[in-house]
Amino acid sequence: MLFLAAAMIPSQWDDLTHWLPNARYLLENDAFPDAELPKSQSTFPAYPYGVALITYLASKLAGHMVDSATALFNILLVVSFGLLVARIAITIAQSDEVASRNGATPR
Amino acid sequence: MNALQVGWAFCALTILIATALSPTYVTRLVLSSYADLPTTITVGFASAMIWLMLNALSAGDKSLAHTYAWQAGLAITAAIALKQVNLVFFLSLLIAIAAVVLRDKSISFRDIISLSHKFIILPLAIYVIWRIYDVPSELSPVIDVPSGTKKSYLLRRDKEGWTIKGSWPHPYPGGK
Repeated sequence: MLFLAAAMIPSQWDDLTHWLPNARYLLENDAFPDAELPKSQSTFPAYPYGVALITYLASKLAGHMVDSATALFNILLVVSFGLLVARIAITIAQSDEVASRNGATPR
Repeated sequence: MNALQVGWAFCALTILIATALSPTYVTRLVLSSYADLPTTITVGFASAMIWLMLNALSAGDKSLAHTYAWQAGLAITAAIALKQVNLVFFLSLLIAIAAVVLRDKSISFRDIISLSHKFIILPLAIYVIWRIYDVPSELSPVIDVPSGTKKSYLLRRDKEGWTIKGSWPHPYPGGK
């Protein structure tokens, strides 16, 4: 999945209108948009920059714009959430097993 | 939660939960720079932490509840930093907490209030900071609107520049 994400070329509408342009602005200026700085080419330059920061930081490390950084980050995010849900499910199952062994009614 | 032994079955379950069993796993969104998936995950984390926090409070473990409250606060702060409309999810979580506390007699309102700052202040702070910075800091010289007007503008960019299509909460008096 990570190889697949790394090979993705930006093709979705919002990627091209603001998510990636916002990240590119950060990379080119090392700052959020401001009246003192060049005008952003993004359609929504005032959108929160949480996602753009991921691409920005990865691009700073790589030394060039990494278009697929957020897609790769998404894979890690979704797996981390799967891990949390699996841990909760198994913990509940184990505590129910212990409770039923002790004669209590499982939750 | 206790430490679990991680085996192949556990890894397979995790990957299934993250992909095939997840209603939000849409390839078009996951393999893009959209904020939809990070929103889903951060709100999901926050919801799970709130649930664990309420369980800990119900069991009388306040120390553990405070830990989960911090984790929920950090997760929902990240959610609001992704999209401004995610404030709605934060408010929904607060309503859900109130509903659970009203129904569950083993959790007292006093306990919730005593740890609420840990999951309320940071998300609200990040939202207020964004609102103060907001559109006008960059666009005020372009659209002749004073910076810090606390209004939201619906803008359209075309070849000639920016066009104001409307504003909220007060309607924009005329086009530009």
